[in-house]
Amino acid sequence: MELDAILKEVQKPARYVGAEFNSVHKDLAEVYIRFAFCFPDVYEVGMSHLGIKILYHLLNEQRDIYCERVFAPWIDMEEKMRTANIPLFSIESRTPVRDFDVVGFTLQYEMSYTNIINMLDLAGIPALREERGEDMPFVYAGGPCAYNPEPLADIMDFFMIGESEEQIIEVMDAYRSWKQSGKEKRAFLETIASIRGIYVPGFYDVSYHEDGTIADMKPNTPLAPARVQKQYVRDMDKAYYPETMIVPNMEIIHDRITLELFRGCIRGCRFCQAGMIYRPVREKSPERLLELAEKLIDSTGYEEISMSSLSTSDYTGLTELTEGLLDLTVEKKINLSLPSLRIDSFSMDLMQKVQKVRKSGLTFAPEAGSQRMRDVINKGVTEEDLMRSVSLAFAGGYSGVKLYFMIGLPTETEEDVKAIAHLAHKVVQAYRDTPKHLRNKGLRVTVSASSFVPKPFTPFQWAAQDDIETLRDKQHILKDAICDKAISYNWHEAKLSVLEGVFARGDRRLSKVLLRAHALGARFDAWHECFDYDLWQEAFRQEGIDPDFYNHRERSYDEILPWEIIDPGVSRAFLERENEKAKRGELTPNCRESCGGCGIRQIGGGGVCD
Amino acid sequence: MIKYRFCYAKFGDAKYISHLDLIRMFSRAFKRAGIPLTHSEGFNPHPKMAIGLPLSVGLTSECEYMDAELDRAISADDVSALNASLPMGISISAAAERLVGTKKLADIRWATYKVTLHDGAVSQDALDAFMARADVVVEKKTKRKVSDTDILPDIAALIVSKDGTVLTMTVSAGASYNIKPELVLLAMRTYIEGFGATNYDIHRAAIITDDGRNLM
Repeated sequence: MELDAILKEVQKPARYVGAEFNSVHKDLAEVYIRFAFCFPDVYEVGMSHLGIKILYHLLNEQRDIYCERVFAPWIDMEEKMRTANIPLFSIESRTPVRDFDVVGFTLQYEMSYTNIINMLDLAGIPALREERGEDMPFVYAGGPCAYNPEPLADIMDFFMIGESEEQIIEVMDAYRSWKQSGKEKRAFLETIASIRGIYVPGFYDVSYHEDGTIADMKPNTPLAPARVQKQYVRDMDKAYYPETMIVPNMEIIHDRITLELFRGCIRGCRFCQAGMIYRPVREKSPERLLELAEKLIDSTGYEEISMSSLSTSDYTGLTELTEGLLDLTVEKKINLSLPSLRIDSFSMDLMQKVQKVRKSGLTFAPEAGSQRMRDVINKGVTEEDLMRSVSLAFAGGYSGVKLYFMIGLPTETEEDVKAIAHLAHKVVQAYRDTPKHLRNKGLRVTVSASSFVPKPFTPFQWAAQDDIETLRDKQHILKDAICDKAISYNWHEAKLSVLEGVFARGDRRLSKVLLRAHALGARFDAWHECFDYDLWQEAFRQEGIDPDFYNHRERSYDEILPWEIIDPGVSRAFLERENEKAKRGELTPNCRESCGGCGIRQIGGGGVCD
Repeated sequence: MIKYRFCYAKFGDAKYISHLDLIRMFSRAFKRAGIPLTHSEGFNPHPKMAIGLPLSVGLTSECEYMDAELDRAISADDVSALNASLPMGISISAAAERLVGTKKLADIRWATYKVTLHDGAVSQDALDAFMARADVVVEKKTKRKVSDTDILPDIAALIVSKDGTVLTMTVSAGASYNIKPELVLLAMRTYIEGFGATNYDIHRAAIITDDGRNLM
């Protein structure tokens, strides 16, 4: 068999064969809807993603739907597939993707967009929706980046905005009826346009001012809503969550059970898109979580379970949950890991409890070096908070600390950048101040500074992004300001951050740039070994589009933003208010202290905050 | 703590599971089956398991061996539960307690492979002439270096089916010194005129100890 011969020659062939424990295999003769869940990155990245786990099992619980997985083949595999004329296939039944009914992509980061085009190309499916005939599958996208669907507007037949487990079955029901009816494809899109959270880009026309900004975006059919309201889960305890997960046959990035504690975030950091679009805050109960944890541990055999949410330490039942989980994990001899803890609510008690099982490095995210900068971004954390936390950590025997920061935040000065280094030095000092009999040897402080990318539906959505030179200057300033061997410094490729910024806040005119970049050879742009900035510049040049228009100018409140065709529940008035407060360095209390009036309570369907 | 030995087959898509991933896979399968693996002491306890002779990615086998220490004795029902907890392409065919005198995994001396050729054939006469050579020198890679090695003493048997497309070879095997079947095929391409097969499936049919027995 041809595929077999190829698999013997590629790296990590287990990426392409599936057959993992808990993967679903159905009799194709008994299936009516074939659904290809496509993740536009390699297997080990895609399989680490929680959404795929939820939707895969949710869809497959429907008897006549068969959801299979498709990942982007790595470049060695792609080359061999193209040489041997093997079209992109699903890993469960190895069916060509073009033979599916529905092809869904999840959008986790902007720099995966060329992989979508490449996957469609490998599948033999035209990337432009207008070029896909009646014989072609529907191609759609969901996930967090779908909150600005516009750069993919010419490619996708539709988008699912919000939390898909609340709408995907409704869309599949509509698909089943449509398939039985034998009507043309447009009829299906017309039906689902009225389902909450469904955005059909072909049903909207966009006109532009002479300066390139949007003059108007409006439906061209009465069947499409003026704005598309996001869909979301109302009750997390009642929401679907799988009691089993696929256990890959090769190591993946997050190779453990993911236990999702809650959605949303009470904090309101002004740079954070997730903190805005996942509102309102909705928790699962500790009882439900412990029940799920036990079932997942037994059904997967995993040796580690991780609590996941935007800000785990804000979970109201954290004490009860961790105690229950510790009992469970000690009994079953597995590890418990606690990611993304906030330093202000971090407690020695919790740390020591987790330490009983395993002691690993600790991660803190002050995000900015100076207090002024942290106030601008509404990260309500002080230097004292951080120092107290790291001192406790060092005294508790931890010697590895990772600190996450951003550079390029609005209003940032050279002093703010240098303050990152100062803070890291103070962390080193806190270690040296810890009595020798308490601390462990081998201090490692890792400073990781990413470049800020303004995102839609955040208070900074109007901000200008720093250009490449400015970001590089700041990276050098920071590098020069760090003078301690215990500190290592990581930074991100500025060119990639700037390009991400273009697509994060882009409009539908960028679809052709994506197609051009792909034609020039772009894919796996998030992988440094594949990223080629010159190629992207060429793509913009050939399409006559100035990328600076999208990210290097401050936008006015008068401007219609491309993503405002979507209603995330958080109001524009709130975002403007927060942006003005940011300029003044004023804090907004977290949602539990006092309601900031973000608008989510007014969302149709009843926005409820825990 | 009781020491067990398991014999298992690896076939179909499971042939792409690497050696390291296989250990992790088994550890999870034992957990799913509710069979308690004995863990090592220390700060980061790990299950006490070992696989006899690593099988290269892409090869199938009907006779792999794994040793594991368990916290309790297991029954035939436990083995069934374990089989139900394994991914497609891995199945346990035998399990037995390792008593005093049981051969160790380190006693592995030979392995028999069945090679199905897709793009070539060879006659038994040609193989006999090959085996009758004074030496069979090929470039052999070890962990440290690449050197010209005479592998003739490492080939205990080399026969082919009547149609000339299915080879059965028994070659040196073990943790310290191992001959891959691909190396024999390379030698055949070098020394047998007209033989150039490069597309084949390799299946491990037996693992044999220094006294000529299997490991169960």
